[in-house]
Amino acid sequence: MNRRTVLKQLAVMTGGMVLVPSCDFSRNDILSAYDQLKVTQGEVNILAKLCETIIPSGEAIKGADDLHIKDFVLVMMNDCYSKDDQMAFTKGLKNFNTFTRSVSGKSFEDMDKDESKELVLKVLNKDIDTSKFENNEEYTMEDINSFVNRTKQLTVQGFMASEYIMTGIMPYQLVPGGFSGKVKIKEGEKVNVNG
Amino acid sequence: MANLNIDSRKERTFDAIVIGSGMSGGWAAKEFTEKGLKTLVLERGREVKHLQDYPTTNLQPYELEHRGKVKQKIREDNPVVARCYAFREDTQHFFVKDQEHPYVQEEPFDWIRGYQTGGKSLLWARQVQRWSDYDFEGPDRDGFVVDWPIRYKDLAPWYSHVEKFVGVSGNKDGLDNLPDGEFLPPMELTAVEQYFKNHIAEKYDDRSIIIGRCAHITGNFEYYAKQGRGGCQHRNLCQRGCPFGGYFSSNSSTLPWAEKTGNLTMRHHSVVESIIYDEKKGKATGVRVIDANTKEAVEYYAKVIFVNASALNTNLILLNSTSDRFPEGLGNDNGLLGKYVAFHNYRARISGEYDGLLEYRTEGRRPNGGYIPRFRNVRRQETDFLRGYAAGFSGFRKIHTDHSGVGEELKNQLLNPEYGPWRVGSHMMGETIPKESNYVNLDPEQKDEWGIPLLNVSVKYDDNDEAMIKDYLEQLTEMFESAGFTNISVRDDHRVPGLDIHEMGGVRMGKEPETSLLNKWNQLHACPNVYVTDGACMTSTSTQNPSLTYMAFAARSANHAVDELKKMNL
Ligand SMILES: Cc1cc2nc3c(=O)[nH]c(=O)nc-3n(C[C@H](O)[C@H](O)[C@H](O)COP(=O)(O)OP(=O)(O)OC[C@H]3O[C@@H](n4cnc5c(N)ncnc54)[C@H](O)[C@@H]3O)c2cc1C
Repeated sequence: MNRRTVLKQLAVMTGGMVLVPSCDFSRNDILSAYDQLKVTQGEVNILAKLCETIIPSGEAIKGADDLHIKDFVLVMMNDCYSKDDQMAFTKGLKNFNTFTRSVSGKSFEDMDKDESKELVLKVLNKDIDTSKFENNEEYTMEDINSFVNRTKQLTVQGFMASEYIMTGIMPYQLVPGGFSGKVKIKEGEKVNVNG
Repeated sequence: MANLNIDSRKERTFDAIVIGSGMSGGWAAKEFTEKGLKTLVLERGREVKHLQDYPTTNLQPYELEHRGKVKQKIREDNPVVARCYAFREDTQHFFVKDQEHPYVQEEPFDWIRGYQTGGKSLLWARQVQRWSDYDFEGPDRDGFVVDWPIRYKDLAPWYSHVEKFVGVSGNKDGLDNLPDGEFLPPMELTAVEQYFKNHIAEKYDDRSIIIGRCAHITGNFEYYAKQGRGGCQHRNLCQRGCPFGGYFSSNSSTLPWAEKTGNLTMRHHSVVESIIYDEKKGKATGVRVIDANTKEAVEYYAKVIFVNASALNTNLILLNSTSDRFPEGLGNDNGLLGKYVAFHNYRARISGEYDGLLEYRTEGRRPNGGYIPRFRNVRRQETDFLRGYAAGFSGFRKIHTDHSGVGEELKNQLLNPEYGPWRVGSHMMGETIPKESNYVNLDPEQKDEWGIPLLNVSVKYDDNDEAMIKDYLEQLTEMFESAGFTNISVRDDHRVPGLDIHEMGGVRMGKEPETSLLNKWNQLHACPNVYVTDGACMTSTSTQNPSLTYMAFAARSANHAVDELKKMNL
């Protein structure tokens, strides 16, 4: 059977199908995540800034702000994590400004790009002098770690699994049509994680 | 009034009743309706129509709100089904949730179910291998359970019959322990799988690596177009339901085919509570059904009844079909109904890396894997445990992304991943020995919403299984090491029985009515117009993925029943 006939036949078979419209996570789910995790608009802004620090937007390639990654992080936290994980995450988020003030003298929201990056790297590298907030009863270093690490993990996931990346940058084919087990890699060929 | 009743009874009378519309029931329905029998298929679940009722089938990964992950609440509320690898955001609507259909676990057992048109045939991994006489002769040679009443030659033509219709992609490997079938073109092994295959062939004379035989259409397209099915497009999103009909499910294949004959009546939301036995006639006359929604009871009648509710539910229905003649369940004169339940041991896996062939990669996706046919104790007993294991084997290029840091650096790393070594892995599929102490029965008190007793499951591993796990890990480690694989790691995940989704037995076949429930045609010895042709009939389990064998039994028995009806024997 030639390619034309195959395509015609497939068109017949899928023709009657109800195509589900492309659904980005709906506004309602985002609002319900705000609601259930009890985060304020101010806290959402802090989260957005953290996401943008992790994957900054740029001229050539979009980043966290452009792709609304903060919404993805919140929906995932709200729907797919245990109560304990959620608690640590929100505690870290709610106290993040206080935390950065006690270790570097500045609220996270007031930091410029370089300052926020340096701070986040320090947390990720476990390079924080915890004696500076030892006596507080609101949060622990574990809460901060949990918030930053989880946000990083979900930001990376949200970025890589975004429509933007999966269509334009590293295209995913819903219908690959075939499989080859042994293909020679060409000089300078770009690796596609969705290939 | 009297007339109305007669009319109504007439409307509820068929030539054949098939309980369950899944993999095996679909086959019984196809054969019956093709042979002109007015056939009623009773399905407890909702209707899932091919194409129309696959709501996620065309979604892009980024259109799944949680990128495939099931919500925490659903996972916490349904821990059993949540352990199944195929239970994902895009497939969850085809699985039974623990909470909807409770059962009792005297011993921990993960019972994975699909209650809808097509049953679990929508969800399966589509691996299909034939049994050989090394498998059928196992119990007799090794002196466990009873002898199978059939041999390979009895089933071989029915394997062919089924394979042709469902479409099986595979390679003619010429192995006597895994007979070749009616194959469409095989899928490709990856470079590292091919390397391992060659290496093992050189090093061992009793072992081989082959490409999986899977129920996907890879050729003979005109033939399958008659079923409205097209070729496999390698989406590897099968469990959503395939918009091309590229893999076999009852929904895409046998049921629409049966419907076209005009002889099929399908009733959904129809929970079969029991089979009705008429003592005067000395046979079953019909089934009692509870409407899943209204809870009303209705009876349907037929000359022949096929029980294809999936292995454990078939046990449940028979156990619940009591009468003065059969107080312990239909056909259960010897008290063995529900006993000798067995499964496949999937506990162990091994993984490693290969640093060669680095100039190659793969392209596209493959809804299939490599396969290692059983090599232990095939021709003679050679180890200190009974029987053996088959195994999956797959190898793909690892893609390495540096996730360290943040900012522009991280972004740049994410956009520029590199090929790592080949990543290879294997999992075992071990034969377990059916035992009287592994059983299902009815809970004496608890009932479900429809007034049917809950099934109690009591199935455990034994020392033979433990010894087999040890041997699998030793042998595969040796094979991996000899092939130059590195970073080898082995794991026993201690999963409980059931998660293999290959539960079998309880209504076993055999030669003698004293020691078995079914004869060589899958008829209850004591009630021959009732046939069981799903996993419940299995005398032993061997190591093959079992559904092809269930389908072959269903087709063979349906044709037997048609002949017996003609001869007025039923
Ligand atoms: C993720 C996954 C992967 C798998 N991979 C493979 C594989 O690679 N190879 C393989 O061979 N097998 C595989 N299997 C197993 C395979 O799906 C089953 O062996 C097969 O579907 C069994 O067929 P069946 O007809 O006995 O049961 P099912 O297909 O489960 O159908 C039974 C039907 O009966 C209905 N039913 C139950 N009780 C009643 C009642 N009281 N009244 C009315 N209707 C009832 C159910 O709703 C269901 O629709 C896999 C299964 C899963 C879930």
